Amino acid sequence: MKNIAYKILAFLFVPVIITSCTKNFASINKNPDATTSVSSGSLLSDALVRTSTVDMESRFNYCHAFMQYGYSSFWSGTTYVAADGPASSLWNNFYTPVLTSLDIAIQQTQNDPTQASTYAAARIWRVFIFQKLTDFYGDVPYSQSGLALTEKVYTPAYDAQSAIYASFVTELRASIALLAANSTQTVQGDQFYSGSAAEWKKLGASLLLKVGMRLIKIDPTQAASLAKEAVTDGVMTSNSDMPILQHSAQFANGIYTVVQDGVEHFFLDKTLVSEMQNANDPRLPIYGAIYSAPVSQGGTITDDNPADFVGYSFNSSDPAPTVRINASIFGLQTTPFFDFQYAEVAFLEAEAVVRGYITGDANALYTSGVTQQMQSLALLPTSPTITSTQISAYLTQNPLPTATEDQIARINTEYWLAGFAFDGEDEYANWRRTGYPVLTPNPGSVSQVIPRKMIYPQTEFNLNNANVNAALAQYGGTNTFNTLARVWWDKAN
Amino acid sequence: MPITLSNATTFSSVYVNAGDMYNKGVELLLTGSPIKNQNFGWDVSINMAKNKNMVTALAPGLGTGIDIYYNIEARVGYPLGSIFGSTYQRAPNGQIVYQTENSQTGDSGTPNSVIIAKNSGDNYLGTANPDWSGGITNTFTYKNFSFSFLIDGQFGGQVYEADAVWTNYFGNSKASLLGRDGTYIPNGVVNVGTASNPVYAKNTLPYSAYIQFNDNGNADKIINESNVFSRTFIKFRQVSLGYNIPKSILAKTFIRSATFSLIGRNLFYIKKDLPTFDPEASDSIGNGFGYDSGGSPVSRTYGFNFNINF
Repeated sequence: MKNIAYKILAFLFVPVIITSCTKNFASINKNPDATTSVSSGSLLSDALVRTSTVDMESRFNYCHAFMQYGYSSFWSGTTYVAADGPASSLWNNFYTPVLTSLDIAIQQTQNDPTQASTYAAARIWRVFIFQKLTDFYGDVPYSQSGLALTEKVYTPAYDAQSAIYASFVTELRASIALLAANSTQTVQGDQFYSGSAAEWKKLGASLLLKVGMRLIKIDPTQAASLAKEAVTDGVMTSNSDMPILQHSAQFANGIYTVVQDGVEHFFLDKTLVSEMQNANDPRLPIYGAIYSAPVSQGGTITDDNPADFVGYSFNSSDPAPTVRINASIFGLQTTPFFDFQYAEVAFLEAEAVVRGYITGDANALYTSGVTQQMQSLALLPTSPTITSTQISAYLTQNPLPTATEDQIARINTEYWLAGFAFDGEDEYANWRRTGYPVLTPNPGSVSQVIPRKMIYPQTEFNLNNANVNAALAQYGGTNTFNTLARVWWDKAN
Repeated sequence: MPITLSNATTFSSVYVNAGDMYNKGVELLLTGSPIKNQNFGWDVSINMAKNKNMVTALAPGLGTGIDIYYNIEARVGYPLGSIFGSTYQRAPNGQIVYQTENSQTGDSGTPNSVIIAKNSGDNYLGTANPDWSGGITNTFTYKNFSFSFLIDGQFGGQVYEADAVWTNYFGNSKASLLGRDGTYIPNGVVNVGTASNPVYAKNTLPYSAYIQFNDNGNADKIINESNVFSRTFIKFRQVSLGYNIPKSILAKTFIRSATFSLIGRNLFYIKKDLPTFDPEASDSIGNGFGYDSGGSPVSRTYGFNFNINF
């Protein structure tokens, strides 16, 4: 063992490593191959299409249940239970991607006189989207929304609904003036009117009428002056002025997803079915049909005679419902979407006449609204046609009454009938505004009160907590359906 | 890193330089040949590493902490990827506090069992980063044979075992056996006072693993602390036995040298603290490091090598 040699080699490394991120993070992260600009027309087009391709859980689960258009065992809205999923879908889908695209389109066009009409159209549509948001949720982030990219506002403050509505008026006035001054300039990316600035101006004025008429309880003077201003600017006058989004299999109508989702192929509510049966409404066999099963389970229409229809009743001892929404008309991927119906404009105008806000022929406007709403259904799949004989018979049976309050009730009942499928959230606002049609709350619900303001999305409490809590203070301080949770214009009497 | 934004910004997330942290570490390598002569040699190589990581600041708007993967957080004052969650309630003298339950959810009447009471909230439960790690390789050569083996390990560091949550939930784990026959009365206390004014008395009721872990299909009585385990392990990592074919045999061929060896890797743990699961398994080596929900264990491999040089 004498040859044993010990050799110990020791390498001792004592490196102290202190690292930190580079300061040039943004420029290093930039993908040199990525597209950095999109044409404003593509952005506006994207926003218009996605307004009705998105998840419509809020509009059906809540608005259709609240307004007693329909019933699904899946819906929280029937029993007035607050659930975050359906409550937040309108918020999530309208803020992103619809408003994302609109905000960028507006930034890109605002200083470009060659795109003035596109700029105006994008602003009008932004008001259209934000009105749905604020009517549904109350105070929402508005003036600080969309500033994450330019001003790094990651936790936008909530604006008071009164301020949001004031901004709507400013925005619409400016847009209408821009469209009037650039009436021959094509609106880029227009999905409704082939770029006609004149048609967009009518849409802007119609929206101003809707914005104004929302204020009848909180500020009747301003409601009257805005209604007058809108009619003077020139609102829609027929179905040909309606913004209609033509859907495709690739960009499917959002109602398709609802109807295909199992039990969400919903039953019509007894309130709607009874009203239409009693009025001999020719729209009933278009709105509904008796199905063997939900369409997602291969159900087919077994009976289309409206006299046989049984709607969903809150009273569990009543017969089980049989009539579901007519999926072959409303529930196809390619069903066109009526974003804002001419009939709504005619009814708002008729009501403004009845209230003395504007001069005009309320009966003619009422007749025109009912007639053209029925005729507009022929634009849907299978072209369900209601004849002029049927329409005049309906109007004879359901004329505009003589007393003022009865007239308002009748006009807004028609507004309700027109809002089925396409405009549940607008009807929900219109019902809160007018109180018509008179709806009896579900006696089987815990609160027995139809909620008047949607709860805020749960994600806001995680990601924008201080601001959402500040807004919540005026709505009873809790994110629930409660008696203090009413939006600004929905003043309690 | 991407930070989720309120949709009201009209964006879903933003990439930000999320904060600052430091890493301070030491690596050590010692090699030596205690024995070396004509026929026999013994080489030893020892390596050790130690690293200390700490989040020192987060970007404005992120507050003091942010979830980066379930209950794995980046929080100021803690290492990146620390585990946070609910803990056991403990009485001032350190005894575990139990709460009384009925045997089935919704039952009314006198409580007949207890579960461990939960202290909800975001409490620091550990970090996946080990205190230190290291390994030792021994290589013996005798004439044309060589034999070497590697033992390594890590000491300190925790893992959040989501596997334990679900094996307990479904009653497939050893931990869920405890008290299943209704005779195990845990040595702890129950609060017979109020929440704000606790009075502790000795527990007399049997423990119900079913309510603790499953509660009629509801996992919300599971306490995060019970699923945090030490990742400390010592592993018999690798062994190899080689034979150099003698030059005399190869002299007349075109082959200059040839070695044949048998190799086994990841053979067994000499010691590990984590029951059932593999302490080296993790959902990812990124943000999910330290959270294991069905991560694949490291696989054991056997093989042989035949090296020929021309």
